[in-house]
Amino acid sequence: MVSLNAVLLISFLLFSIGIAGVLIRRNALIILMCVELMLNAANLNFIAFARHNGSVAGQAFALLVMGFAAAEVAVGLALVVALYRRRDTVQVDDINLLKG
Amino acid sequence: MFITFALITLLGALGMLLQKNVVVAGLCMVAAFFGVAGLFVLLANPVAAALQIIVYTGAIMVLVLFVIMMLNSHEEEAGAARPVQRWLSLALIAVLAFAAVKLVLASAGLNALAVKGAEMPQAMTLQKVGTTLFADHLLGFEVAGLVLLAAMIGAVALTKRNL
Amino acid sequence: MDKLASLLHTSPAIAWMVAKLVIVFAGVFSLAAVWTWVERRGSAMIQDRIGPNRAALFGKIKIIGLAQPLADGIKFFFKEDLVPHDANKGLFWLAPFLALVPALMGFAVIPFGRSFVSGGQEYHLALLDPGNGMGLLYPLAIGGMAVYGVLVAAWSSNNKWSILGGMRSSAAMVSYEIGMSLAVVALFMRAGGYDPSEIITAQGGTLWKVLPNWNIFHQPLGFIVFFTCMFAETNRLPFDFAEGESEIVAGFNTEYGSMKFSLLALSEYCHLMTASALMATLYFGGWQVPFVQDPSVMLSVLSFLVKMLFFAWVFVWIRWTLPRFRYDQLMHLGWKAMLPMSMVNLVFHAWRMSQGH
Repeated sequence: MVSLNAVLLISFLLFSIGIAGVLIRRNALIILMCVELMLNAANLNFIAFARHNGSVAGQAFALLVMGFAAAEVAVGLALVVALYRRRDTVQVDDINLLKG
Repeated sequence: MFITFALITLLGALGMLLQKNVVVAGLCMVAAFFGVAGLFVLLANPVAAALQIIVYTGAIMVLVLFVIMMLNSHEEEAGAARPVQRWLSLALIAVLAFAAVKLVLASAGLNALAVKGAEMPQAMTLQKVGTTLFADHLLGFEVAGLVLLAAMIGAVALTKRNL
Repeated sequence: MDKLASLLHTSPAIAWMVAKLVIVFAGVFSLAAVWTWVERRGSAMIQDRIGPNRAALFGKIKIIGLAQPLADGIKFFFKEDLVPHDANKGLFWLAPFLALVPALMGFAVIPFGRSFVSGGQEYHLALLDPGNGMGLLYPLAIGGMAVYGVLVAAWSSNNKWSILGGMRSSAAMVSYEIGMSLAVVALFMRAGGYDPSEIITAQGGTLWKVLPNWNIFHQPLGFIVFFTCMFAETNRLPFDFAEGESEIVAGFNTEYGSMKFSLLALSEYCHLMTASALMATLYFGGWQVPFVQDPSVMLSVLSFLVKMLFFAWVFVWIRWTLPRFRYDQLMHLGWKAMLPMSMVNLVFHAWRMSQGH
C-alpha cells in the first residue's frame, strides 16, 4: 500500500520540474516535453485520489487528460515544424518578433 | 518498489531538465514516463499504467523523437543563464509548495482519504473504466473526441505546404 | 513441484514462478537462436540452394547443420567490439538491451498451455497470472517500447543511414500501432474481456460444427490487419525499411558489430516469436485444440507450440517470397488501408453485437 502523501510529493516534484523546464529551457521541443510532464503529474494525482477514494471517475479523467495531451502534442509539434521551416530555428528566444 | 519507481521518475525528469542534448533529454523523458507507469501499477491501477505506456512512450514520445531527428537542429542553447526566469521558477515552486502544505496536507479530507484508501482492495479493470467513461462522463468523452479532431485538422493545416 | 519446492526450502508458488521464468525466457531465447538457422535453411530451400549444413558438434555430429547458431554465437563473441569514434558511447551500449528486453517481455502475458490444479494449488502456464489487470494491453504497451531499441541504436551511431532507418521505423510505428490496437479491441468486444485467458476461453468449441470456434473465422478482416501490422512491428520484410539493406546500407544497425549486433539480431527473432505467439493466441485459439473438449496439459502446450512455430515459419516464408515495399507505399498502406479496414471491422462487429449476435 503506497501512502497518499508520498505520491502527492512525487507529483508535486514532477510538476515543479515541469514548471522550471518551461521557464528555463529555450528549446521549443523541450518546453513541449515539460508541459507533458506537468500533465503527467496531474494524472498521477488523479490516479492516486481515485485509488484512495475508491471511485473510477479519477481514472476516467486521467484517460481524458491523456487524450488531451496527445492532441496538445500533435498541435505543438506541428507548430514547431512550421516554425522550423519558416525561421530555421527551434529556440523560442529567436521568435520574439511579432512580424516574421 | 515505490522508491525505485519514484527515483526513476524523478531522475528521468531531472535529466530532461538538465540535459543539453535534445535526444538524450527525450530518452530521459521516456524513463520518467515509465516510472510514472510503475507508480500507477503500485496504485493498483494496471489499466492506467498500460495506457500510460501506450499513449505516452508508444505514441507521444516516438512522435517527439521523430520530429527531433527530422529537424536535426544541432544549434546549442545559448549558455548564458536566464536569471529572471530562474528566479521566477523558484518563486513559483515555492508558492506552490507553500500552498500545497497549507491547503492540501493540512486538510481534513486528505487524512480521511488516507484512512479510507487502506480499505480499497480491488484493482481497476478496463470494464469499470469503460462503464464509467461512457455512462457518467459521456460529455467529457465527446469533448475529448472533438478536441482530438480539431487538433488533427490543425496539425495538418499547420504543416501542409500547399493545402 | 511440491517435492522440488521442499528441497529448495521455498513455497511451491515461488518455485513455480522461477520455473516459469526459466521456461519462458530460455525457451523463447533458444527458439529465437534456432530460428536464425531456420531462416537460413528456409531461404536456401526457397532459393533452391543448400544452406548451412556443415556446422558439427565436436567436429563429428552434423544434425543438418543445427549447430550453426552455436557456431555463430562463438564467432560473434570473438569478434572485435568496435564503437565508432563519434558515437554516443553510453547509448550505443544501451541500445541492444533496449531492443532485446521488450522483445522478451512481451511474451510474459501469453498463456502457453491450460491451467491445471495440483496439490490443491492452481498453476497457470503464463508468467503473469490471469486477472493481473493488464491483460492484452500489456503486449501492446511493450510493443510500443520496442521501437526505442531501434531509435536509440540509430541515433547513437551518429551515421546518416542509421538515423534514416530510425526515423522510418518510428514513423511506421506510429502509423501501424493504431490499426493494430483497433483490431485487438474488436477481439475484446467479442470475448467480453481483455485477459488472454478470457480471449482463449471464448475460442473454445466449434463453429457450425465443422470449424473450430477461432477468432479468425469471426473476424477475418481484423486478422488481416493484425497480421500485416505484426510485420511492420517486427521490422521484417516486406516492411523492413528500418534496415533496408538495398537503400540505406543496413539502417539502424549499420555501425554495429560483434556481440552487440548479435543481440540486435536475436532481439528481432525474439520479437518474431512473441508476435507469432500473439497471433496464435488472439486469432487461433491459443492452447485450444480443435474438436477436443478438454485437452490435457501436454496436448495444450503442444497445440500452442505448433501454432506459434507455424506463424514463425510464415514470417520466414514471406520474407523470402515477397519483394520489399517502398517507404511511402508503406505509409499509404498504414494510413489509407489498414486503419480504415480495422475501423470497418470494429464498427461492423459493434453493430452485430448491438443486433444481439
